[in-house]
Amino acid sequence: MKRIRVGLFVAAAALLSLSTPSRAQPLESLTVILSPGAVNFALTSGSGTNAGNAAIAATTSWTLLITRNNLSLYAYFSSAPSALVHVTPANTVDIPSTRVEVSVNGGARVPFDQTAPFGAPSAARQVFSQPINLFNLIGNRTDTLALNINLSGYALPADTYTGTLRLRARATP
Amino acid sequence: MKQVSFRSFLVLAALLFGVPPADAQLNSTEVTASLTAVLPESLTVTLSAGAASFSLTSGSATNAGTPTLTATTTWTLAVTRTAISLHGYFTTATAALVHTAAGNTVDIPSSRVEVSVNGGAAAAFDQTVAFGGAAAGRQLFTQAITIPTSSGTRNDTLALNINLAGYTLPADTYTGTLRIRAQGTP
Repeated sequence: MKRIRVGLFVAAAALLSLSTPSRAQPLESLTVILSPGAVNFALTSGSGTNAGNAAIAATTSWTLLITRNNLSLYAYFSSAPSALVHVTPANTVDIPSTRVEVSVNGGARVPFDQTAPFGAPSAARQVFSQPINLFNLIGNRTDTLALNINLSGYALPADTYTGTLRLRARATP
Repeated sequence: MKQVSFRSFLVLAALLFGVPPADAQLNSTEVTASLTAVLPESLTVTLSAGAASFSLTSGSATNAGTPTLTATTTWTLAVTRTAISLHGYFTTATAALVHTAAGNTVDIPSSRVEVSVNGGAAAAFDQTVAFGGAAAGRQLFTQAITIPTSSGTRNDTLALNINLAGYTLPADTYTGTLRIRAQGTP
């Protein structure tokens, strides 16, 4: 009987949401916001440690249906060989995504060398993946992304290099 | 009474209320962060020994300094640079090493100080280079810079000698400062 009562509650809640004037709005929502929206690096040639001047806080908020069982956040670049692109026209050298590393919530630094649902092949990193169940269909979480550019063993001409890190969340299935 | 399972109920509710099919993934919109990385130009020179001593023999062409110096040049240059060069020089050509005794007026000119770079032929500090006094320098190396060599490092050994052949020098202690400096051009 307890199972039925819980199910009835969920069904009633869904029915209420459908009967309100906002019925045209989607039942689900999934958003990501970043703070700050820009990170600067003061590079030292040949150094493995070139930390960004600020860690990015990625806040993921979701309202999901009961059919979802997983939520993931991905960070990625649109190109693996050119995550950050040179500015000087005569320069042909870029910073590949494998040289850009991220430490999520203080964990070990890992490069953007994964192939994810978004972005270019071998240019991404899964930031988190968590199961979704009845008790966390609605929620939010904030993850810190500390970026680093690893230039150890990588010859890079003096220049300014710019790029865009992209993030996107996905609920499955 | 037969109990209705919770999952069956949820599936039924999903069908009734129009839940999307299981294969319809839900993606957030894309958010972005701008990344800017600046690698400035740098050019440094270090010397493995900061002093060299000479035991002079009057009239001798061979008065080698000890120890041999090693100049390490390290650079990160913009791709607009086409060459890097290293120069050794004194501030004055006429008095590279200056007498110590008050009554002595004779100095050792830079043209009497020689350097062998990486075991090459000894050459006098008699060039006018980008730094130092006129005719008081010596280009120690020059090399082309391309994109693959826009950053790098190299070591060059500098074996010094004071050539006193045909040069009359009073007994005294002579001191001076050899200066080393690198330049990326243009």
